[in-house]
Order: sequence, then C-alpha cells, then structure tokens
Amino acid sequence: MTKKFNKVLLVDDDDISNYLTEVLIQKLDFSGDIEVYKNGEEALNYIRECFHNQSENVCPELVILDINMPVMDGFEFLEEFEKLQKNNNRDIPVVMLTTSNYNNDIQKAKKYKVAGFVNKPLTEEKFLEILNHHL
Amino acid sequence: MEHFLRTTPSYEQLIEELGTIKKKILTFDTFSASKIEENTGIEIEKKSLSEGFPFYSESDNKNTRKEDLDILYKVELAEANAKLNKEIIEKKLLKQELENIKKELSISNQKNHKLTARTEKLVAINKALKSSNADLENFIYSSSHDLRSPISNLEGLVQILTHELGDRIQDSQRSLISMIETSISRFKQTILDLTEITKFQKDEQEVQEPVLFEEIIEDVKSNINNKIQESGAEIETDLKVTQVNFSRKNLRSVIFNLLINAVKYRSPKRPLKLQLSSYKKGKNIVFEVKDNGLGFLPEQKEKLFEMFKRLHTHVEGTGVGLYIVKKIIENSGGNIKVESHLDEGSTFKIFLKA
Repeated sequence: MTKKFNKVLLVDDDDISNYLTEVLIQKLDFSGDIEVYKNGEEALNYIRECFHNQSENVCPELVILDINMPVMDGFEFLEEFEKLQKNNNRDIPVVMLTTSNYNNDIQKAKKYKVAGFVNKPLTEEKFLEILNHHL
Repeated sequence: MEHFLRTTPSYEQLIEELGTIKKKILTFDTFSASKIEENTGIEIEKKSLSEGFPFYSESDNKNTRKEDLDILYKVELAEANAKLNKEIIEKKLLKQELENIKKELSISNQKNHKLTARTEKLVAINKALKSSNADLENFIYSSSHDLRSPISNLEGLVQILTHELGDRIQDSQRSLISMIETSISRFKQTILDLTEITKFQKDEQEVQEPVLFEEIIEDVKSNINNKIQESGAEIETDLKVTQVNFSRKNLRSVIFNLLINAVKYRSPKRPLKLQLSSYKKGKNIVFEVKDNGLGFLPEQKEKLFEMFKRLHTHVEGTGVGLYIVKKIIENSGGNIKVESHLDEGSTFKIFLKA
C-alpha cells in the first residue's frame, strides 16, 4: 500500500543523486511531493515563507540535506534552520545524506539537531527506515 | 733641632706620618704603572713620583721646621698627585672595561639580531607549512568527496539498471554489470584507504599517555574475534613490559594491523601460532609479533611497507596496513624490523621509545 506524504524537501546540488533518491522513494512505495533545492539558501527561503504563511508553500515533513553545496552548505543551512524552527516553534526532522564519512563532518553534524546521518548511496533498507520513522 | 722635634709630639707624629706617606708614594711608582700598562694595554702618563722630590731623611739635620713643612706640603702634593694618577688609571681601566662590554654587547646584539631573523624565518616557514598542510587536507577532503559522489551515483544507477532489466537480463549483460560493480567497489576502497591515511596523519599529534599492551591486545582480539576463531589461532602472550607511553589510538592501529595480517597470511599447512611479547632492549621497549605463517623472501622485505603494495593476492587487502604501521612507529621516533623465512613464519619487532 502506498504511503502518502505531503512534502519532502531534498536539498542537494547533485542532480543524479537527487534522481536516485526520488526513484528510491517511489520504489519504496512512498508518494508525495518532493521539492528539490540545489543549495541551502533556496531551501531556507522556501521554509521561511511556509512558516510565515507568506505563500501557499506546504511545510515539509522531512528535510533531506546534503553537506557540500554551493552558496549555502548543509551546516550553514542547519545553523539558520534551527533558529527558524525555534522562533516558529517547529520541529521538522533533518536527515543528512552525504558522501562524506569524514569524522569532522559527523562530529559537526552532532552539534545540530539531526535526525540521522546517512552515507550515499542510499540503500533501500536505510531509506525505508528513515521514511517509516519520519513520514 | 732634634731636641725641638722630640719635644713636640705632634711633630714626631708628623714625621712618622711623612714616612708612611713616603712609603705609599714609593709603592705607587712607575714600576706598578708599567705593570698595569703591560697587563691592560692602557697607556699611563708615567711620572716618577720620586723624581725631583727631596725625600725626607732622618739623617738630614740641616732641615729647618719651615723646610720640613715645605716637604710636608710637597709630600701632600705628591700624595694628591698620586691619588689623581691612580684615579686616572682606574678610570682608564673602567673605560677599557666599558669598551670591552660595549664590544661584547654589540657582538651579542648582532647574534641576537641574527637569531631573531632566523626565528622569524622559521616562524614564517612553519606558518607556510601549516597552511600547505591545511591546503593538502582540504584538497584530499574535497577530492575524496568529489570522487565519491559520482562513484556512489554510478553505484545507484547500476542498481536501477539491474532492477529495470529485471528478468530480461542476458548473461552477457549480467557479467558486464558484475564487472562494473567490482570496479566501483575497488574504486571506493581506494578512496577509503586514502582517507584512512590522511586521517592517521592528522591524528599523528595525538596525546601520548601510558597505555597497557594487554588492554590494547584484548581490545583488538575481541574486535577481530571472528577471524581469529575462523583461523583457529593459538595466541600466546608474554609481556615483560606492561605499558608504554604512546597514543592509544595509534598503538591500537599498529597492533590491529599486525594481528590481522598474521591471521590473514597464515599458512594453510599448519594451525596458526601467534606469540606476542614485550620486553626491554637497551633504551627501547620492544613489542614483538611472531607467527608461523606464510612468511616471505628477503627481497620482498622492502615492498612490504610500501603504500598499496601487497605480497599476496589470495586474500582481501589494499596494501596500506603495514604502511600505516611503519609511519606511526617512525613518526613516534621508533622503528620497525621484520625477519621472515618463506613458509616458516615472520617476526615483526617494534622498537618504541621507553
């Protein structure tokens, strides 16, 4: 049975990786709107607008976040996103999806409220667990 | 006169005093002056104090009291002169000493200047090194990330392709896909190894602390317990030295690599026997791992510790283990030696600073 979700934000500048993530979501029988942003700033703008009801933006139920991106990277995004969540009393989970398995990045991610840290490529099991848990 | 002199005690005293002054003056003569000159190189205005000076003599009865007083004045004058002369010499000596100090000071100033310049240069070099190290780290980080991204995409794409082909897949396609997968996994392993090496180089400045050999050995043993069980290895330990000052993480890495190698490269002809020992030798603490495994030929020794070099291909491995071991040991100021006989076994000896 297909599980429905309203909105998942996929923040990653890698088109192929985004394609793979979307295919996997469908394969795992989840369906809903996946909004793709190629850097943190664009995603943040979207979320800000939805928090402030400035547009018809549907607030996401989950954010899947890459680390290395142009303009605003994953950590910079988290820094701003946490403030934004706190000010608006929201608690949207963030899962970090990255090719980095650098200890530095994992330690850095621990400073933020991150629901998970997953290495690419996403496997079905890993992703199913995340989707089931957060959607 | 004699009588007169004798009846005036103060005059008598005066004579005595004159005598002392005379002696004083005489002791400070040209001889002493030349002596000072000889020793110090300072030119002293030599003026014989006794020259042209009518010394008072007791036998000289013709002297009147006025003459005596004249003599006294002259003596006083001479004494003042002598004092002055002495002061001049002392001043000259002081001046000379001052000059010497000035000279020394200027030399040490020059040295100081040179030292400061050298220190500044070293600081600059150090800064440049640190920055180039950081650059290198950044480079490795971003290149390993940039390499990993497309390879993990490729991995995902192959999975989708396999899925899409489903049952329609032909044997030739299956074998092609399998080869692509093997290449991808080898590529990924190489990137992993590269990051391992940079990680270890970054951790290199880890704090040294007293570490117990036994604790590390037990930790490693439990970590690779499956492989040890599988090999049926018999492990003996004989730790004459129980601990060493070392980075815990690095020592673990060293012992881990040596044990896993012994298990991997065991001989199929006999059950693996491992002897781990520690002992003191001279100024060093030696940690030894002796096995009865495959061993190798003397000419293969050099290759053993090189990056990405492997002596065997029948088991999985990438050839960075012993490279890391050697680097860790050498960076800590120790060294590693190995003795081996083909088909008999190998002994790795690690010499650590006590």
